[in-house]
Amino acid sequence: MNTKARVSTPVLWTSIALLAFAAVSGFVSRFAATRAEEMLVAAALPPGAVKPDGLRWEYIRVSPVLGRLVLPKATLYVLNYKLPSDYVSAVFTCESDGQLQSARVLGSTLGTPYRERLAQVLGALGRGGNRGISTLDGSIAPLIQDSEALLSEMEMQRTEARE
Amino acid sequence: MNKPNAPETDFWSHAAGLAPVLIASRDLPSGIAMAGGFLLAYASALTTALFLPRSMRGKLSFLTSCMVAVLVLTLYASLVRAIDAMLFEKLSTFLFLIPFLPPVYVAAATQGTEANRERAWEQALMALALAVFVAVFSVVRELVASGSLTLFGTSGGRSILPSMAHPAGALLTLAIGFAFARHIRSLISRKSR
Repeated sequence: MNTKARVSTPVLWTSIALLAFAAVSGFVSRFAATRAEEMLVAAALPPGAVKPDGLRWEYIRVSPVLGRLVLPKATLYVLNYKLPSDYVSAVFTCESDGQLQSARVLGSTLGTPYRERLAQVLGALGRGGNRGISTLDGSIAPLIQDSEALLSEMEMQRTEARE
Repeated sequence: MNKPNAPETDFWSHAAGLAPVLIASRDLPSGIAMAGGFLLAYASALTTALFLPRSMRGKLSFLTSCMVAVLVLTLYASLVRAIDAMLFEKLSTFLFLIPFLPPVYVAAATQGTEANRERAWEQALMALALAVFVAVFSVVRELVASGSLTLFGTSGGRSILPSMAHPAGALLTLAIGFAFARHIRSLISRKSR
C-alpha cells in the first residue's frame, strides 16, 4: 500500500509562488529600511544642515526612543510619543555627558492643544526662555522629565561603551 | 437575505469590523495609508479566493488567501516606510493588523464558484466604498479634534472636541455615523411610501 502523502500540482505551484512572493517582500523591506534610515537622518538633523559623510542611523526602539544619530560634538535622539490623543515625534540634542542641549518637535505643530503646548515646551528646553503657564503643563512635565532622565542614562551608557 | 455560502456585503457590518483601522485614522495621512492597506489586503484576499483552482477550495483556499493578504500587506507596509518613515512608525502597530480584520477574513472565505465570481464586483465596490469611508472618517475626526488638516497645513483651526482624537473618539464618530445613516435611510423609505 502506498502511504506516501501526495502533493497536488496546484498546491505545489501555489506554495512556490508564495515563497517567491515572500522573498520579494524581504528584498523590498530591506530597501524600505535603507530609505527610512536616510529619511530619519534628514529629519533628525537641524533644518538646512549638511549631512556629514559616514553618518549612520542607529535604531534603539526603547519606548519612546526610536533611535539616535551620533555627531562629532552631540547626539541626536528621535523620540516618538504615542499619546492617547496624539502622536508626536521630537528630536532631542544631547551633549556627550548626557546634558540636554535643545529639543524640537518634528513635522507640523498643528493638531490638538496638547501637541501645540508640547511643541512650545520642547522648543524652550535648554534655552530657558519664558514659555508662560498652561493647564496642560501638569501632564507634560512628567513626560519631559522621564525623557531627559532616559536620554541622560542612554548617552552615559553610550559614552562608557565607547571608552 | 444572502444565499448560503454567498459573501456578506453589508456595508455597516463591515465598517464596524474595521474598528482598529478607524482608531488608527486620526488624521488624513493616516486615513489614506490605512484605507490603501485595507483595499489591497481585501482585494488580494478576494482575488485569490475566487481564482484558486477547484482542487484547492475550502480550508486550503482560505489559508492561501489569508497568506496572500499578509504578504501583500507586508509589501504595502514597506512602500509606506519608503515613502514616509515617520508615518510608518506611527501606524506600524495597526497596519499589520489589517489582514486579520473580519472584512478581510470574509473576503478570504469567499468560495470560488461561478456565481460568486459574477457577484465579485459588488464586493469590490463595497471595499472601495469602505476605503473612501475610512479616508473621509479620518478627515472628520481630524477636523473635529484639531480644527485643522495637517496634510494641507491649514492653520488657525480651532479644536471643537479634542477627545475625538482618542481611540474612544473613533468609536463615538462611528456611532454617530451609524445613527446618521439610519436616519437618512428611514427618511428615504418614508418618502418612497
